[in-house]
Amino acid sequence: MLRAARPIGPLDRPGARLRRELVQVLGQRKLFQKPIPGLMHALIFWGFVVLLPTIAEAAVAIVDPRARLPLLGDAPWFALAVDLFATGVVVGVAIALWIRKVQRPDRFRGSHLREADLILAWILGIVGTLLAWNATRIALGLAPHESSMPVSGALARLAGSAAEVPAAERALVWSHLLLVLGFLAYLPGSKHLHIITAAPNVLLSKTRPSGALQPLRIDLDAPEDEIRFGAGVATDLSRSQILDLFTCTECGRCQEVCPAWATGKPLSPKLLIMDLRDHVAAQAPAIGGGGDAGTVELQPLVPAAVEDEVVWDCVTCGACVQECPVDIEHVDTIVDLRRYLVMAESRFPPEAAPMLRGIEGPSENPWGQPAAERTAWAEGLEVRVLAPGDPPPEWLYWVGCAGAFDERARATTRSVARLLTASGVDWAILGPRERCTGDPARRLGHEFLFQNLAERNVETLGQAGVTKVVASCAHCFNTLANEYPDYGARLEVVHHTELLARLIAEGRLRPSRGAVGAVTYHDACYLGRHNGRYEAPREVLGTVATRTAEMPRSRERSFCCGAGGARMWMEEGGTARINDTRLAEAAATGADVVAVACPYCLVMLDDAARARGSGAPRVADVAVLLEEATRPA
Amino acid sequence: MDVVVFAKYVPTPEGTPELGPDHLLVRDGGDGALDPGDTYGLELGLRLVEAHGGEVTVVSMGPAGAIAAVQRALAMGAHRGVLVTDPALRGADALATARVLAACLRRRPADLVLAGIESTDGYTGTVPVTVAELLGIPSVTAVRAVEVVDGALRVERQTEEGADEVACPLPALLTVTAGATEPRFPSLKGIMGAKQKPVETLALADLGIDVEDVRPTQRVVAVADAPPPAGGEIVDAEVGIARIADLLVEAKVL
Ligand code: SF4
Ligand code: SF4
Repeated sequence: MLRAARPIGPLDRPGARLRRELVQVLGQRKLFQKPIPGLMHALIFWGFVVLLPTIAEAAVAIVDPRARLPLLGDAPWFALAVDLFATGVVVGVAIALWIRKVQRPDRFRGSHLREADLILAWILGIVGTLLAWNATRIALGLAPHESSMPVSGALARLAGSAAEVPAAERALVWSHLLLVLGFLAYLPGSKHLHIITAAPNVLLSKTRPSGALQPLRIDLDAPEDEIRFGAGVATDLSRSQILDLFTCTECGRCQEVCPAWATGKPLSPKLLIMDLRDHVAAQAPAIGGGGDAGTVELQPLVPAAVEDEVVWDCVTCGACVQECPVDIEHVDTIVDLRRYLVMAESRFPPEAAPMLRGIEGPSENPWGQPAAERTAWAEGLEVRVLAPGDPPPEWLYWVGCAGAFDERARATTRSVARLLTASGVDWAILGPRERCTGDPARRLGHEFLFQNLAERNVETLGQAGVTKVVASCAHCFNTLANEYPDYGARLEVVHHTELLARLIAEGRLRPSRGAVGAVTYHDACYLGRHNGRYEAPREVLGTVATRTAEMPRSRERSFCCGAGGARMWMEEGGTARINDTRLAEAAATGADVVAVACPYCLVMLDDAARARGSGAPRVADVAVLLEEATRPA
Repeated sequence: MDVVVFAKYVPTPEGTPELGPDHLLVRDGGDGALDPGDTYGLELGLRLVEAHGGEVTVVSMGPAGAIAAVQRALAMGAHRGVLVTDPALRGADALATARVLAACLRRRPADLVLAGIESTDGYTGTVPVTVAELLGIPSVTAVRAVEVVDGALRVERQTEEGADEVACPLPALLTVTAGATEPRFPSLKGIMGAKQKPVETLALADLGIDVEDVRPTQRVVAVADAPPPAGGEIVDAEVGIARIADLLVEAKVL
């Protein structure tokens, strides 16, 4: 199966990958994002790592009960470790059973529960027989380090010197070994395969910032059968994507944090991965496994494996990827599915067509507004518009389409402009020469449109001689900083909150504290989770608010506003709206103001606030709040 | 069912249209596109042949660069294209255009002809119905939905009050309102495939049209900028809902 899939290139950054392997696999870092389940898993995992050599010991003991492992078999500390870690596994299994049987979190909905129970029982059997076997060995005087084995020792004392002990010793070592072998045989067809695939999967997951999608170069002049449009059938998936599918443990951590699932949409990242996995497994005979994929008719991934709606529900917030303990990359796979639907079949929610037409058309922005209108927000302000040949400014302000055309976002743009001027920054805009960065087209799956815009924007920026860019939109920021380097850009990109925080720190802006009341900050996915920019907006708010409050879900675990992944241009189904859900969470902090740092968040949350009516908190950009606090009294 | 869709190549609203010394638009500047107003008819036509079989032929008249409009329609799914281009057609008026399009239809008859209500550059809105008249087939204007029932059309026609339902035999010509459907966005496969689709380029002689019959009967003598709109009031939506309601009442709309 893997052989028929698309090969992956050589691995970049081996050092970073190795470190990640240590921290995430051995250190179980992502598992500990949930402390109790993390502890449970770590106990079982570490236990198995330590206990591995005992399998060899048991195998040898089948023939010679007195045989011992070289080196380890003589070490009292190893005997102690075996004893303690085996007990740890028992505790781990007990916690797991408690979670599954008593706590019953919703994240397991749709997972194979019986299979999980069977595996837990199996693990308990393996470790139980090991402890009991060691106890009988102690009783028979076969174990040299009796004093280093408190748990088995206690068991041995229970057994005493009953006549059945020697027979029990034989029975236990046999059953222990058979359980281990049976487990190995059972693995490949089960979700527990992750104990083999997780480590390589973590190794192969990308080292790029999580907000940077893998480019898919499209050359329309290439021969038709060489052009790839994304993932249409199983063999279009890359080897690392297939490995992803077979690594999923069905733990449901991703499902639990997914805003689409939380608001009653059919998308669950877990079910998506499971459905794709089952589909690929079912197609394996058709794929032939031997690489002669061209000869069989493969079923389309959409809708054979997942429905259309599932593919379009994703806001690309990355919460699932953040949460996944085995580094499955749901977002890249979802976008690959979209790419095929959009570019090969032009199949996507029709309401998104005007956005694509606007970006594609002469105006080159999702709003379809004339490029000349890009500077309309600047009326009455002194703003330098870079004409071709002008000397470059220190900072280019990348306004973004929302900042230029959306009435509410324009308020942010104007505030940023006035603050930059007030602090004496040398800045300018591209005005009509700015185009959409292509983010919405790319996240909808139209890689070709994105590629066009990226190439042309990079060219314009290069010709303008710009080296430092400040962006207002989290999506522009992410695209300019993380994705344009693939198209040749060499830019220092910051978000306006970062530059403003810097200006405050340098004393070039002097806001008055307490000017804007109690504030809670909503982390934009493409500023926060995808790019790790958590502090700057909070620093700015700290200088202006009477009080700041955090929402339960914040920073890397923030909850999307609902607009990412081109969802801004699609209608929303499900049982609740993502923006309403988030606004309710913000309102519950008791804050007067919900501060945002992205025009998409602004529009979505402000819509939710308007729908809520009186009593709803005000929604405003960090820059607007800062300007209010900085205004000369 | 064979469908013909008229497609016009129009200057994009983004460009700065240039007028020649004869006050006629310089049409071959390359800054043009398929008239968005034509895409609704095209979409309806594509859906009809998808449901009932047949082919969509897109017919355009314009400068050589108008091939871009034909290509776009082919990328969206039309099966074949016809472009009539001839130096003698420069500055052709609505009647001349209608004669040319009618000649195309005589050469290759269709069951159904679809067009936009009016072009987004000339706005005369007279070409399609003139074609129907020249061909002697019925026409229905301002159509927003169409169905084929027992070999005839059932058409929903937009009116000021709502909609009329009109029955109409085939062959027929319909003009389709903007917004009647959501025109599809061409797939990349469609754009690539469009290059392989058959396109005929015809001159007047190929259609057997005499140059005298398409000579413009009108001449532009002067061009002036439109006066800026007088009056008007910009109401801030944040505060102005009540004000807007007042204005609408004043204007007797509400
Ligand atoms: S990216 Fe966000 S919306 Fe998409 S599947 Fe993951 S958690 Fe759900
Ligand atoms: S994708 Fe990752 S987080 Fe989601 S269920 Fe599978 S292993 Fe768990």
